Amino acid sequence: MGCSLYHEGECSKLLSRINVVRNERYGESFVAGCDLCTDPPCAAVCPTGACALDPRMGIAKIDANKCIGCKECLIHCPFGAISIHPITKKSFKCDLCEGRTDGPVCADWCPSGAITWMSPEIAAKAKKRHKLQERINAATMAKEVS
Amino acid sequence: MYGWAGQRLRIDLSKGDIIKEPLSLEYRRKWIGGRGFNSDIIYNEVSPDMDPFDPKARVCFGVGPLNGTAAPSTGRVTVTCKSPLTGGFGDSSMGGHWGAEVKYAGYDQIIVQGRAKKPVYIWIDDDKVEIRDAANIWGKFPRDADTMIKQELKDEDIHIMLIGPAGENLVRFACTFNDVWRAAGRTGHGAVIGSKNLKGIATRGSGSVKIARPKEFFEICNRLRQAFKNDPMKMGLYEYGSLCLINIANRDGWLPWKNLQYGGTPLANNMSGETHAKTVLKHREGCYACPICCGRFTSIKDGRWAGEEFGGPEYEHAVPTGPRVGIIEDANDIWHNARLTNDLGMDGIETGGVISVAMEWYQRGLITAKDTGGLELEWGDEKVVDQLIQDIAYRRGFGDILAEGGDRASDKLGLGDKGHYYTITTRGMTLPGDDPRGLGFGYGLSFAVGTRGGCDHLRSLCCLELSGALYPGLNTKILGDERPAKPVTTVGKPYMVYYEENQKTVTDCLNVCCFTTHWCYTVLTQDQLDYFNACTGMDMSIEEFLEVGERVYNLERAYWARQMSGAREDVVPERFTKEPMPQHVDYQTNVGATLPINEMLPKYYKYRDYEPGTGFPSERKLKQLGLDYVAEDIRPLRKRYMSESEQKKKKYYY
Repeated sequence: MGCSLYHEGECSKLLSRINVVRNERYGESFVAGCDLCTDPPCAAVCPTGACALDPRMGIAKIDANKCIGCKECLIHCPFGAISIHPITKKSFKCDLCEGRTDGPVCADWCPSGAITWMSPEIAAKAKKRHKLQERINAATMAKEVS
Repeated sequence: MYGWAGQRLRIDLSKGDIIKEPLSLEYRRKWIGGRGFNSDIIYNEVSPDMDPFDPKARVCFGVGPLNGTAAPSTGRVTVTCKSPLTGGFGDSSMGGHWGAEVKYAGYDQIIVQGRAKKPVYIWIDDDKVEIRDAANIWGKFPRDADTMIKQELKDEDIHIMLIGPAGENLVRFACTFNDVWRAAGRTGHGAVIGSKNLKGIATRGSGSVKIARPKEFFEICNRLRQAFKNDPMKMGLYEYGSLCLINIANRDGWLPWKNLQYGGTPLANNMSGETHAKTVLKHREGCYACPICCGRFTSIKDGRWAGEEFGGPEYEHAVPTGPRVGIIEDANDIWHNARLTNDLGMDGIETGGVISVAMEWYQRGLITAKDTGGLELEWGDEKVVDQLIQDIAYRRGFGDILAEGGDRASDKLGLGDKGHYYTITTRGMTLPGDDPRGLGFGYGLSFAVGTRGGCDHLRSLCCLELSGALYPGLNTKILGDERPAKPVTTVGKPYMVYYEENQKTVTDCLNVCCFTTHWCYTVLTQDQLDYFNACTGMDMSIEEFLEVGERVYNLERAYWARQMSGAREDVVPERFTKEPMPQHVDYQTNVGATLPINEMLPKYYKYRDYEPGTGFPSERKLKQLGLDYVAEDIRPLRKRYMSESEQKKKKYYY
């Protein structure tokens, strides 16, 4: 909700750039948001150039003025990151809350660490460390249980 | 319109009418939302002598102006009806995502009345409302019904409120669920919904909540969410859920063991949040817009219940069908029982409460295997508990009697005063798994005076008395005195309960989660007022804001007064006043404590401005709160309550 409030000044899940889809019965959930592709398919298929990679932020952005609402980007995004505005029927997507000092609202507010935001280089390093940490945790837990 | 959706939806299942009623600004300002709207409707439209299962009875689902916004934890719904368990005013609230969805669909409140001829469910698709056939989902567990409705409506993203089989079978403590696992547990409105032949309400909302001052509102929300990152209580709740209380409760002697005969058990760690997280926790869950995420999803890995999965448990849900009935050795039994009460759609607290009291009757020789249809009600026998839970839900054999609730069952079995001594209830509803002899005297007072009977932790939720260690100085900040931070003392408790009741009521009117305001004291009253004003564009003062809480609370109290329930019924189970807490755990801190309820009541009445004799809200107070019509209603009743014939009556339920 922080996303919709920050960008649109009102609260609606349809206006949010990032969504959590859930299956309550099996207790599973998935965060559908922009994965910051280096070579974004949404930009590649855009016929008007409305959707284009912003090299400074490292994310594809959609210019609402140029968007014709053809939904090609929606079809080609592998992560479900594109939404359609309920009134204008044009595409919109995450812009990493450009200009906000504390980074994107979703990652800043996320209480569980399910959503994080960092540069790809740091993320790659952290991922490597993460695997090692998993092994250490498993070993510690095995010791505690025994 | 900012904050509110501005209309209520009324559905008459007898006639098939669907009516949308606008809510005026004055009305919204008077009641704020959620619990306020609901209490107003129940007071005005459900007379005290009406049978809760009468088709004319109402069941209300209310959301507040903050629901669906980015303020912390705004997914709650308050469900209110005349309770079939207590016979009096009954409300309960649940988390999940359904509350926000109702708001997005464009409603502040849904009222259901009448009775459908055959099982139905309601489909709210924004302003399109339909009553649909539910023949194929009747009798199904909520998790299956949820999947089937989603398939039928071809949308996996909708949110659905449902009852389970217990509600259909009119078990007096059946509850409602949304998002499959989030329950509004208490007071038995699941049975009222079942009596209307209603299985559930599926909702899709595509609207938005407009904010009057978005920038200011964003800044307030941002500040509060940053504060939650460092909140000590949030960390415990996130890591271990509400089960983080188990070891604390055991130490301080308020973990019920065998129907609250003892305040703990040496093996409590078997079911603690710490153990749960290491053994069966699948992952952590949050309700709508929640910065805490205390929800659990459990997956049992080994033993005879291996493979069972469910959302939960909570402290209050796991304890009654665990230590309260003497089960502790194998925690998987406890998780299984919690899963079972969820699937069958029953209040875990009441289910554990009635089983544990039956076990105590059996222990004391008040009932024998003859009364129970051959079941030997020995403490800690999982087989018996498992069997009884199912028998209650389907009203079979002895379970049929227990499905009436503890006090009614005692009368049906003809156990007299002795039977009622062991039912740990007030106004007919079982107290939750908190023994006030250890948890705190404020809780004890709250149990006696709460406006939904058995009124438990969610009427005042005066965690201020537990907050000393985590939030030093908080009591001074709020109450002007640090002494009440000690649980086992009467100092300052009457005012604490008075303050917390008003605060909790206004929180329920906003329908934000009380864990943000009463456990994690991160959102204080001033913060609530700030985000309320920024969201709705109002200019309420803090006095007016808290007065709404007081107004709603007094209205609910007046509902009880109309049922001849007042000062004489403001009691706690005699066990708490007569039996000093015995020692059962080596390091227990409250051995020998009893609850000095009569020391606190008169002072509490003064703060509340209740009449000392009747315990009814005074005329002066009601008029000051703008409740003149309520004052008119209960004026003639004062004399009747004091009459000799009334004084002789013993009322355990209504």
